[in-house]
Amino acid sequence: MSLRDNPALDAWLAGVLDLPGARVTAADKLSGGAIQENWAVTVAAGATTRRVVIRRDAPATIAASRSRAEEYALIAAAHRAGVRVPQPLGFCDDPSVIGAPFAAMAWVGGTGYGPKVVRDTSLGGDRAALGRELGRQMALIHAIDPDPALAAILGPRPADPALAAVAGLRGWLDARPAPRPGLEWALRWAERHAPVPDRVTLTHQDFRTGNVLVDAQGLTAVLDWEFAAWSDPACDLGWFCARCWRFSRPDLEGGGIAARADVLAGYADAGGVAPDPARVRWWEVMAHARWAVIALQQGDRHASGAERSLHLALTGRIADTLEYQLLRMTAPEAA
Amino acid sequence: MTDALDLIAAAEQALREDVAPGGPDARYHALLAANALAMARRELARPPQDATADIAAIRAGAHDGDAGLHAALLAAARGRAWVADPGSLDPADQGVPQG
Repeated sequence: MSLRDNPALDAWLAGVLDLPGARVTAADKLSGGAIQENWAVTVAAGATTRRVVIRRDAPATIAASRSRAEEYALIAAAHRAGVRVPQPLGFCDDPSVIGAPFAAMAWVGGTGYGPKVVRDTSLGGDRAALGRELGRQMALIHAIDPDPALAAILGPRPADPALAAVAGLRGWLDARPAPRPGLEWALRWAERHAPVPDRVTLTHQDFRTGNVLVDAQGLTAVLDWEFAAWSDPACDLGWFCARCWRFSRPDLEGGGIAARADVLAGYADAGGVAPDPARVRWWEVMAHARWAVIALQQGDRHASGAERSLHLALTGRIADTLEYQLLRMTAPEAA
Repeated sequence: MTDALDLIAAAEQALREDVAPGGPDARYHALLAANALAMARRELARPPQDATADIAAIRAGAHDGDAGLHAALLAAARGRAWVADPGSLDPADQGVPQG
């Protein structure tokens, strides 16, 4: 269903933007949405123009992904807590408007593509400062106290987030067409070495280089909230620092952007309780396992014929490199 | 072999549907197709050996500390990682894979 020449969409946008007579004058599909479609939309009313991003579900979604409505509620809560997210404008749950429920947010400039953000140091401003700022953002997220509506979306807090994460990945592997003994080995290692339960907070669950936008000055937005859930706050730090998300700069342990110490300093300065380094390292191992299983799920979408795509097929192969790294990290000598 | 053939088929489809018509993303899709063909070439040149194991036994702890199983799983993973991306291997593991 078109976003242009769509009177129902025009009327809805006129309402949420408080812009009588508004209509969509341009709509361009943005790249990088495996789970959802993102559209950059220009809305005009007389001499006034506004840029808006519209997000709706893609044809196929993956197991852990939240609905657009739930994701919108999370972004709105993060916005109220001062997290750097695009301003939420409204959510439309009427599928007749553009064919699926959708969220509208203010357009934010910046570059997100992880390899480019890591490689192009003209982006992001001072890299140590950017690392501290990203740590600060994680601390703000972990301090969010969900209101009853958001708490209902999040469900009960896991008593033991580490073992729950292991069980969750095993469940995903069981749902796949073929076993992966290498990943099973890593998950058994993780089960045996799991950190004891400690704090449980709201976590982003996909906070990494590639899911944040930066411009020449620094951070402009934290994106991709569809996996947010209760967990050990160290899981976000581990996901961010994991080697598999450092791209061409494995030496920069803060997401290929800065030193790990910069990220942790920003985290602590913003009131975050710095976790035991061993706890973060454990979540880094789990980051490789989780990304491996997600990559396999994406490859399965291609292999099953649900969505034939070379990009999905190649993403599935990333699991092979992750499994290799995992087995190196979980050798019996490390027991 | 079927995995390599599937990659070739997907690359062929991408060349016809995403590269040939041109457009702003044609270069990206061409590089993606080249990457897939290189992967298929490596897989056909050195088919990775699968390591089999009893998943339930691993989960139950029957293989905890089993250095032999770990070595077999790592060798298989090394072969598949070399197919997927030789640059992902540790320098000591790069070059011709064993097994």
